[in-house]
Amino acid sequence: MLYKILTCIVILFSLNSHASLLITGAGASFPAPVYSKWSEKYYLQHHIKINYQAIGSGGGIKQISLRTLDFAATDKPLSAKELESFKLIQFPVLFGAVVLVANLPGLTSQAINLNNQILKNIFLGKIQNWSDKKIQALNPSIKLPTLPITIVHRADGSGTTYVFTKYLSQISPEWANRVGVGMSVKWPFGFGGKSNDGVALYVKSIPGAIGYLEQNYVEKKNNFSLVRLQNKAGEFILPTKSSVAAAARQFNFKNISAGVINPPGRQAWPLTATSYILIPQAIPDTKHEIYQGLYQFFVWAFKYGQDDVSHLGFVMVPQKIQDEIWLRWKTIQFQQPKTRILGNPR
Amino acid sequence: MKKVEIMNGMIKTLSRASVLIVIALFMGIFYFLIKNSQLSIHTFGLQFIHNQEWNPVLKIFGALGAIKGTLITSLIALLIAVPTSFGITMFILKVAPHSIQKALRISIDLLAGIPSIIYGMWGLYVFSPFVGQYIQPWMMHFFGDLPWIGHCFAGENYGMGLFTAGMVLGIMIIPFITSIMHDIFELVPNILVESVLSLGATTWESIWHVIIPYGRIGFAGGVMLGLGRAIGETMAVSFVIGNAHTMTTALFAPANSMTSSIANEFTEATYELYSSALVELGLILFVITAIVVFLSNFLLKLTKNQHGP
Amino acid sequence: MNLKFWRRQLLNNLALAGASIAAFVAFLGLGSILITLIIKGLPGINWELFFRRTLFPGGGGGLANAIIGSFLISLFAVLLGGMLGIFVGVYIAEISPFSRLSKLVRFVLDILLGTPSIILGLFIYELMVVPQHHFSALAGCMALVLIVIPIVSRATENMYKLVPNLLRESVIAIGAPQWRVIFFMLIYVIRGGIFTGILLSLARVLGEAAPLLFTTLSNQYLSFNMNQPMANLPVVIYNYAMSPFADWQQTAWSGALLITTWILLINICTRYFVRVNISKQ
Repeated sequence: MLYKILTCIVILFSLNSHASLLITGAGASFPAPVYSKWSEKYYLQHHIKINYQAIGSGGGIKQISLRTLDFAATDKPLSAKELESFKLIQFPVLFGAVVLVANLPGLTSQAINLNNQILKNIFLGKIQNWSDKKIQALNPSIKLPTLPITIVHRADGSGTTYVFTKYLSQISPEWANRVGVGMSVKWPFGFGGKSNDGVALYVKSIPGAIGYLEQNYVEKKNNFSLVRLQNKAGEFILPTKSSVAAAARQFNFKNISAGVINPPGRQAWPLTATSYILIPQAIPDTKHEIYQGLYQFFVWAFKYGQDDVSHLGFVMVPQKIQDEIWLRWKTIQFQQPKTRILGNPR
Repeated sequence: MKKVEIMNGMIKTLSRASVLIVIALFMGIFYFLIKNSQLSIHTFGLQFIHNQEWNPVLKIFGALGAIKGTLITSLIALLIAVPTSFGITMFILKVAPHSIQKALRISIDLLAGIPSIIYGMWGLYVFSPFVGQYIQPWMMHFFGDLPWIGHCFAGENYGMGLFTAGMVLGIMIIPFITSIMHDIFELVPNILVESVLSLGATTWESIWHVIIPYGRIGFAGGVMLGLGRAIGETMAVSFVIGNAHTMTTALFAPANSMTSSIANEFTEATYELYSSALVELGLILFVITAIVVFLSNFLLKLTKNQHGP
Repeated sequence: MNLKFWRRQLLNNLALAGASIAAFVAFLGLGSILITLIIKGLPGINWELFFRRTLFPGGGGGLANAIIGSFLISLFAVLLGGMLGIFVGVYIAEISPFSRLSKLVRFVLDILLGTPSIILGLFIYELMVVPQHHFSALAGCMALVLIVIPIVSRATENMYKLVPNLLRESVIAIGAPQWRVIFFMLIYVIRGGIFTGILLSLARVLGEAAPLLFTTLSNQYLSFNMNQPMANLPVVIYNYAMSPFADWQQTAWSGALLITTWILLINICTRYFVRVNISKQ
């Protein structure tokens, strides 16, 4: 009986000598739907498995720095110093919107305008009621309810929080000093929901609540009121694919830490999140096949994956940035000298 | 002769090796916990336990908030679970018709097997809205104005927080504690109970005057085991506790427990001091659990030695 | 005289009524959990759930890889942990029950039993995942083994202790060596109890998510490779329940219903087993 079990175990372990290539990555949940759809299609065509798990941007960063993953995805870009110390290469892939939603009874599905001043004052606790004159002044056609404003933020670390706090820090020096930027900060007010789901649930159940969500979590059935933000060009903008695309066009590798948050440019959505991929600068021999495979995957994705990206509500990185991305791929060092990433994306 | 010695020796060696492996693993866990929290221990020292500020951005970590969260939720859980479990045990053994006693006992044991993630999901989607809509407002209305404990009932009507987490936890450990109490009830010699009954005592009196004093050490041990279970629970709590590192005694405000902090933040801890602080939380948790387990075993053993063959 | 009597009766009735209410409320609460599970999970139970693997949101898909992965990991953990657990149980029950080593390991086992599973997961993460530079089903297995060992050891020890000394002595009296005595008791008398312990540990590990989170990760694809990330039910449920996609959430509830059903079935099996064993004797 014992021998039978042992034999089964040995067989199981040896079954995998001709299993198809498995490339494992993890990180932000923001781009997860796109990556999983891409990998599924890619697998059907090329029989290479790209396994992507959403464990959070921080998780992705941490695990790739420990090299327990082949690649990572993050919404919070690493600084040049961090890239150097972890020996990683970073490039953007997708853009999406972080959305502010509010639960305003009677005003369901109506958008309300908030400008930078009001927004930062709300989150700093200085404006505490929706009926405040300043808010009403920006929304003359709507009668705002007299409800206390309840702030809902993320309890767990999140790239979404990073995007929002980065924005707040840029529009408010007081926020930058008092609270700062990060995937996890000490919010002066409000309380935390676990994951986007938790935030959505809270906002849905508390009249007068306001919270920030990844775009995919804004469901029509929740009857949230969307918030129009005032971008740098002074326009009040709703988060749409075109406003995100307008922001995406402003992406610049030189200014990577700012991403495209609060970008200049007409029709641009201020809270645009960029989703990056992190890969190691140096590859050991054993992983040669993996990174050639990963490269081919991204070539395929940039070429054929546009529809899926659009379908799922995201914006792909613009063509001119893609060229710079391929340049970065070519800088990867393999253990064997004179080996480079094969293939030409064109 | 030889074969006997070989076989004997083999069994002894394998068994002993297994025991040593288990002990080594345990030591390994302890070692890992201590080693990885060194950075945090050196940076914060004893302040870690006194400080309530947990700020990943400013790199200041103090565990007091999480520790209090764990203790308060566990306390609420026990307050709910212990009397309820006692009531259930009483019901099954004394009130329910004999024919369904076994079925009830079995269903309680089955319910003990429900994994904690289910409690978490149920807590998030079903129970906390219920609490927020019905129970919380009532309690705030009722207790909110009382002098000392009134401020405990401050907070908003969101259904999340220490109170809800404590309740979900309590419901989760009810089958567990009921099982233990059931065993202790049955440990009491029937003769004692019957003799009191034959003297005219009511059922309740037989419980109050015979079973409880007889089994009180066992009950205490069972309660401690339940406490240990409640302290270590991760999934059921992190869904509904609100996850905020604040130092508040308001029951309805969001808070944090040691386990939910670790679960929520470990993968996000991108710099060493952060993960070291979380591991130190784990170390504190480990030590507390060990103490509670030790105490409960001690008490339960006393019961068995006191009265059993 | 009469007054006192009625007062006692009243107290008694109040107490019993209170107990009944407590039982009623508790069953209500616990029942509500099961009912929620059934209501939310049942709609998703279909052919696809069992035979298609996890796919992207909107792509249909099921839980086939997670189900297979969970069973692989859990069975392996229970086998390995069960073996270790039985040996440990044998040691502390038969070979040297009163030694300091036995006392130490009993203490260790009790603490292991009560340790939050997330700490066990972290330990294996540091021990296996980080040095090996990859997540693996094997690492998750090891974390679960740490949960299984105390359960099986305790069951083994209890079962051995239940054997009446008379039986033990009679076997020794006919000249059986120690290992034979142990084997005899193991195979004929207590196997039911130990098997129950193993089944109960299986039921326990099927539902554990925390230890697998940082060790096994998960896998979109079907995999039998223990040295790679592998899909498993608790982690997939955990991820899907938190996602914004209705079909993923439905899958999560259905998966939760599946796990709970299996665990309940295993628990029921153990009772049936115990009854069969008792009736045999």
